[in-house]
Amino acid sequence: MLKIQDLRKVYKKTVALQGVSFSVESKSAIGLIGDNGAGKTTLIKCISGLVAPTSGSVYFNDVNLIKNPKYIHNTVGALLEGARNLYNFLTVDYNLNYFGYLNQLSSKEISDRKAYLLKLFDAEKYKDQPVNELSRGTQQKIALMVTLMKNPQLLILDEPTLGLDLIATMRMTDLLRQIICEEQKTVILISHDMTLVSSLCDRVVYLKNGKVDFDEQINSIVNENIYEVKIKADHSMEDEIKNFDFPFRMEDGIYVLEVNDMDRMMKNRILKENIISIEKQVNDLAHFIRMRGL
Amino acid sequence: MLLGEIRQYYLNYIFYNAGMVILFLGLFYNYYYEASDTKVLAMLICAILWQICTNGIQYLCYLIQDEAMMGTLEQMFLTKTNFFAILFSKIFVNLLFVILKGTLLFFVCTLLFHKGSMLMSVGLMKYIEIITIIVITLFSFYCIGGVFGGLSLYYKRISSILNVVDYFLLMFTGIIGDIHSYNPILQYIIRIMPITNANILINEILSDRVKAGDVILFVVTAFAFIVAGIVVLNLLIRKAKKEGKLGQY
Repeated sequence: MLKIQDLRKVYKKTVALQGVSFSVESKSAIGLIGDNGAGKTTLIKCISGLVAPTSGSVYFNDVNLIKNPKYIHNTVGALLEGARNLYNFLTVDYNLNYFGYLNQLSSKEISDRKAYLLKLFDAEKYKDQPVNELSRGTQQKIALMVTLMKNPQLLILDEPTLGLDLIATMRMTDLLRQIICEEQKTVILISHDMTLVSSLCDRVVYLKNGKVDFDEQINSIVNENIYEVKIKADHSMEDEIKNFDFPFRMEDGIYVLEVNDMDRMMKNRILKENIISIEKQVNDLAHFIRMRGL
Repeated sequence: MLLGEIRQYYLNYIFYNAGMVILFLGLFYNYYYEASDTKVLAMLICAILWQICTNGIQYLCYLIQDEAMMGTLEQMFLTKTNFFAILFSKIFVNLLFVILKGTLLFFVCTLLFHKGSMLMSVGLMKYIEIITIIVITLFSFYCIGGVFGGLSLYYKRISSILNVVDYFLLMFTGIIGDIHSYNPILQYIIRIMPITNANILINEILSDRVKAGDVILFVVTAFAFIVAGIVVLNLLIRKAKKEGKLGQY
């Protein structure tokens, strides 16, 4: 299990993380989402030891990663943004060998692990090609293979589909799903692609201004019944609407509410009498975030 | 790794080695008419030592910059192998190649410029001593290059600092002039550098006037450079991690 406790990071004048706390169950995947500058990359770099946090702690399997950096080397693999963890002038095979040796795998372990990953990623045909001759999508695949060479227990993925076209994104999504299921890893996925997060993760943690804004099971988000209710009302009714605590917006003088509890909504006679229309919404993660005004 | 780099950056590699060839040829050509073999040998060795030491001091700096640009620097910190172990293995390979190339070029030029008598006038033991001094000096400069490697990690671009160091080493370590003619305060300052002590020792070996004090000073300064390089690089890595600069370039 990964436990992050009151993690703080201050860069000179910028507070990147303001006491972030959450946990990730073993062999599960969470999506770490948020606006640019929310602190997502800083958080994963603190977990992987690439950035020293100002205070707080990170425990993985009850080991304090901040005080035991060697444990990170043994258990954490990170695919950082941009497929920039490869030697472009070397072949795929050589990259895998090199990082295998740096991770102190024996020759047999390297050979077996390489064979498994090349087959899993269908990358046998690229084995002897220099990385710089491969497409962006294939390079991203190879970068992920290099990260997986040491078979890390905790896998951190920072925008694994960034810059990929639609087909490459779909292929990468399928691969990640297969890895998460087959290799039973604990995964932290950073992505702005809500479809990717929804399809791979069990939970989503939203970071805003360096703090956890919400932490929800994805099932509870996408299975929730949401209705779009349009109400004709003047400004005097705004307080009534705010009392319900449903997200709302104004469109051409009409209040548009996102309601997940119609029974409670209908108990208010005044609002009920001013309803113009009710429409059931297809709820997904992106919609959920938009409606929370995040 | 080296073969891969050569294949990818072959033009740069060719000219890097061409530079070394031109240096050797140029030095031998310019000292061809020098009468005293011992003096020629000392001057050649010291000039070559300067060249390879300046390369050594830059090595870690450019290595770290390249790794940061490729994004592999952060991955190196995530592997099980200690970062310094990775650096030392790269230094070892590079040092080996430099020594082998240098030795080969030296002997080829000696034969080419009919300076065989220069080689014969020096005994085998002296060659072994001189090569040992060169290897230790070079290694100490690779290590002190860790300071500049760490600076490049933190400040990113520091090529102008390296230029200043190159010129200082050329002008004030006994390559161009006799250090005994320098201002006494300057003499004290430059004696903290292993290359200065190496130049003095090489001259003493070739003229059979080795002083124990100079040997001790050379060993101490070389050791100090090695330790200083490792310590400062370690501190600058910690600073870079604290400020999140590892992944920047």
